[in-house]
Amino acid sequence: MMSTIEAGPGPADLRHEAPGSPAIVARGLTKRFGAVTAVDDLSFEVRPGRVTGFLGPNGAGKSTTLRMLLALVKPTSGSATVLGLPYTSLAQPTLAVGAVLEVQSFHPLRSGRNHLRVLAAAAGLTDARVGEVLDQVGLTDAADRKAGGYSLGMRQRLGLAGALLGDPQVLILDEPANGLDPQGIRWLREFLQWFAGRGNAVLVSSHLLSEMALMADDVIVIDHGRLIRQGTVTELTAGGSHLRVASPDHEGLGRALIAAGLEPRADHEGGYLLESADPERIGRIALQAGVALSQLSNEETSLEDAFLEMTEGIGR
Amino acid sequence: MRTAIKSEFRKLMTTRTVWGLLAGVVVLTGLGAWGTLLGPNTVPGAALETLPLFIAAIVAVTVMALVLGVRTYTDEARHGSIVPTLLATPERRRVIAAKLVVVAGAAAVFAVVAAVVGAGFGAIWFAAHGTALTVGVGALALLVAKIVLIAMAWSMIGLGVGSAVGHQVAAIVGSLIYLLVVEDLIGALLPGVAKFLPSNAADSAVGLWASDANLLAPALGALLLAAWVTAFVVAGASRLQHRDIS
Repeated sequence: MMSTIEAGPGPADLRHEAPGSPAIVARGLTKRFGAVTAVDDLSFEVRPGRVTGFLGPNGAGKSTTLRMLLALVKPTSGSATVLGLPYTSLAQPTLAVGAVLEVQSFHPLRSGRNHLRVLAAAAGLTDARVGEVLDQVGLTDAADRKAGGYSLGMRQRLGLAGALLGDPQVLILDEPANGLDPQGIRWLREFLQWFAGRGNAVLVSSHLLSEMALMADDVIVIDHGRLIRQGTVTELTAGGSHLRVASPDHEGLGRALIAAGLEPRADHEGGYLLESADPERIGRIALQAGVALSQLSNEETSLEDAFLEMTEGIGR
Repeated sequence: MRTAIKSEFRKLMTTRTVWGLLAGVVVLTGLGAWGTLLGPNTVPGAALETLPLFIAAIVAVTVMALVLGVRTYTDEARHGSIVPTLLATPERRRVIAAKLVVVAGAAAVFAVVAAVVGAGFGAIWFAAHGTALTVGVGALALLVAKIVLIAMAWSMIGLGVGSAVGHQVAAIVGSLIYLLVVEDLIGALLPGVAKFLPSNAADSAVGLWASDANLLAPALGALLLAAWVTAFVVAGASRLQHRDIS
């Protein structure tokens, strides 16, 4: 169904080539809506050749930030550049940047093909290119039906086809996995990795960590509009091992650990996490307290653990 | 600019909206002309271009061109296609300019169709009743040209209103209530003020209501209508320029 991934005819002479320099730069981006600060002094960089996950809980300011990068929302202060220029200064934005921000951004009575033909005309591209991106996302069979009748997954793919029209160097996707089935998510992951592997930049937002752990090379974590961390997935999860201990007597175990001067952190599955603790010592503490253990093991820090640690203690 | 216009033209031609509005032009003109011919004012043996049945054509294109203009922006806001539109053409004034060109062109077609329907109705009716009907070609051409310009003006006012208001239902209902009720109400209460308002300015410009003392001279009406068009377009473009698309 979702067929071959292949390169479109790239207008090579139009590329803003500058190897090594960041594809997207945000400097002190701030957006206030009335009294609400949606994005607060946010700075980050997105490198080419990598898939960068833009991570944060719902309402963290991800969508507002992406819209500021694309000049759809005006920052209260700060600035952003894509390929070294503000978005509005790009000579041919469709050939530089492709973006999908919403599940629906088309007239429901227009066919998928005609929606893309409208965008192609605006970018000075041919109808032949429309056929290519339809093939690329596997939507050719449904292309002449009204887009309003598309499934959620087909809508996402129509959005992606529109983003790919100009064979851009930068892709910006807001929660693209929403509405995709597992095969669709896998296809998207492979597609983004292939796209980045050609030296392009991908910035993809999500509130789902498991998804980003599989998809992204780098992550930018924000919460309440502020940058929490930026780094590679490896960096964020590195050094990362902890001891997980659990007991049927949850309370008793907790008391014993605190009495021994440790700082146990309750996890979501009824156990405790301990940083840099010696399993033998924990075993003794439990023995002395007369608490039976159901688990005592070392665990690698997952991206999810790292994320929960980072966003913990920041009051809403 | 050419690419933006081409894109807007494709938008217009790939949904049924424009055809629905054109059908509205035909039906409204036909009904209005029919009503006019059945009315007591009909003079047997007259010049086609002076018949009041063209008033029906003007009313029909005014309403439909206004709605077309409003929808040209608000359809995009409503369905979210404004996002890819502005991503492809981040210079928002260019988007408005391209939309102006395309809606004005469509409105001109509306006007010609309305004039043909109105004239056709008149010709058939007079022929059927065996009444003599003369045609002043020059005067008829001038009248059709005026209807074209009026239709273009209303489509651009509609685009300005749609871009300024943003919300489709509010913009359509609001502008139609204004056009069909509010301005007449103001006319009844404050005739000295009403003649400067858009609909009265348009009527003055056409000059079919020459006997109406409450209207301005045609040239003055045309100038005033152009000023209203400019004001609405500037207001819409300026609102779009500063709007956050979120």
